[in-house]
Amino acid sequence: MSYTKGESTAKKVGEGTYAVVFLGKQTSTERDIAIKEIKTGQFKDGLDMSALREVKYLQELKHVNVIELVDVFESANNLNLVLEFLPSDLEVLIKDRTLLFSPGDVKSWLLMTLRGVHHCHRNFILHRDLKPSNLLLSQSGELKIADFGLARSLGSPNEEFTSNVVTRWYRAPELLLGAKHYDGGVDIWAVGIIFAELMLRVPYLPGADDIDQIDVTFRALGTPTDSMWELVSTLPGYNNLTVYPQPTKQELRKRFIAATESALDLMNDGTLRNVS
Amino acid sequence: MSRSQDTASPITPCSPKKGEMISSIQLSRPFLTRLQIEYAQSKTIDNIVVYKQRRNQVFSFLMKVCNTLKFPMRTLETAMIYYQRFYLHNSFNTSTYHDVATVCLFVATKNEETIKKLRDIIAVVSQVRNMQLNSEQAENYRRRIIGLEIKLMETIAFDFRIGHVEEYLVKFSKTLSIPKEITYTAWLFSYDTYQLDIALKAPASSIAVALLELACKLEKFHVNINYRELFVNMEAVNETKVDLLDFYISNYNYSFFASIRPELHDTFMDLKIALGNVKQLVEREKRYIEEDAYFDERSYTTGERRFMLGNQRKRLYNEM
Repeated sequence: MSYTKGESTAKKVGEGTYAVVFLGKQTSTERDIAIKEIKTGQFKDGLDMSALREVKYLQELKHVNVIELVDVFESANNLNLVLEFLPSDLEVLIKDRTLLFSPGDVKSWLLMTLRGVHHCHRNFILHRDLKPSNLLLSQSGELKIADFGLARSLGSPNEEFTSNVVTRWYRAPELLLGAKHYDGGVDIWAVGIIFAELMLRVPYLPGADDIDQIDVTFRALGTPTDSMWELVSTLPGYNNLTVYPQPTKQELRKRFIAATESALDLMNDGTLRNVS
Repeated sequence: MSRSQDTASPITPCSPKKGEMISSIQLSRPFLTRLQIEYAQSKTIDNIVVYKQRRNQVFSFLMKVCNTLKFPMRTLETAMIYYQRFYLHNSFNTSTYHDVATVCLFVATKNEETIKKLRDIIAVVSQVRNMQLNSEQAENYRRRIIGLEIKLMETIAFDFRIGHVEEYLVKFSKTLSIPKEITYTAWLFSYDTYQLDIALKAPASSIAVALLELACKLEKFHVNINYRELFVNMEAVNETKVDLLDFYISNYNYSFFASIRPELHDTFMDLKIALGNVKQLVEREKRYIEEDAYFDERSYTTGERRFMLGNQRKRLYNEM
């Protein structure tokens, strides 16, 4: 199988921390693809972990709401990941003030996101970096989860995970409090916050830094206490917290003016924490 | 998955069209048969006795490094599998096998999410090997390992799927209500399977079942395992049993198990006799193995090399 990528046809679409992304076409099918070109042998610690994770997890996931890794090839000291190309993402849409979202739009994006997340979770894979800019949209409106650079498999129960994952604004409270063990709940929290952002059209919990994020999160959704979330106070980061009360339904209604009751319930479910 | 598919030609040089680079496709095959392994090694290893002897040394070296760096067993096991896979396709050379072992450990730490800076790994490696490296030498060593890293990843065809026997041991034991002490015996066996090349032949779940059955036999505990329910392959289970028992019968003193239970020296012959003649992994005729392009010498520099997992075979055949 060959791909057209050259000075004339390929367009550089972005430059990440460890890779250059080109836009190209699959020669046989004329399908648009993105080629992630990763230089090997240049970095202090070899191949970047995020590249390894993308290969490892995307090779095995196949779902209409998860980005497809079409091919992996190596040429001239470059590792190339051929991914399907998707022209837009949710962040672009949220920021485009000329667009009006209907409840139907939001519902279908949320459903597609949850289907993709469910597919990851039933394969025991946590995404750990869900945010609007990682939810890509195809020409025909299909939403696909992308960027598996932070993903990892659930592993065995005694493994310690790092809590330094997920982009700050979408970070679940257990991560903010430094939990070493967590599960799919961190992805579901992020989906809940993205849902809120789709309704508000601005980031729901924009913390300025890690400390501020804790404050912003708990001010909006209440500080968890042992009575509602068993042993939460034993988490390493649980100290000197201002205890905010849980928001009443009325307060949430005021924050999300256009939301229906069932929408609020759903968002509330996503952000509900009770690990035990 | 039938065996005949397994031996289909995986490297297919596509006829280069005008202006196109020569490309080859590397299909990942996580499991091989004994004859296939022997054939691959006959091409890369001049003296199999030396290779096996050094393999034991390298594994105890890796174990020391892992202990010092407090890596879990699974990281060590992955490194041991990578080390053996590397020498299926790259020629064995007594002057560089420690470097290969180091890079295997390095890639294993990435795959098992126990990442350490390469610099720190090299510091421990040189300490275990009693090498005094100044900063320049350490830097050169680091470069050499990075150079080998991509070679190792190409050798394993960017296939990062690795199962671990002990995970299945615990799960299966719970399902089958096998007492803890017997599971512990099986767990002790598991390290010995990694010292051999069993993990190159059988998936972790089949190995786990084989070890549990052997441990139950050894401790005279009756258990009835339905292979189909646990999705394990009977031939792979038998292959594991035969390999491990043969190893214990001929080289018990070199096993890890012997260091914990030395008094069981003579029991394994009886287990082997009780096992009898069982159906092991199906071997194809030698000429098919020799025709298999999978065992051809690999190039790491020419053209493009494309990597696919075994489960993408169907797509590959459609393209051809």
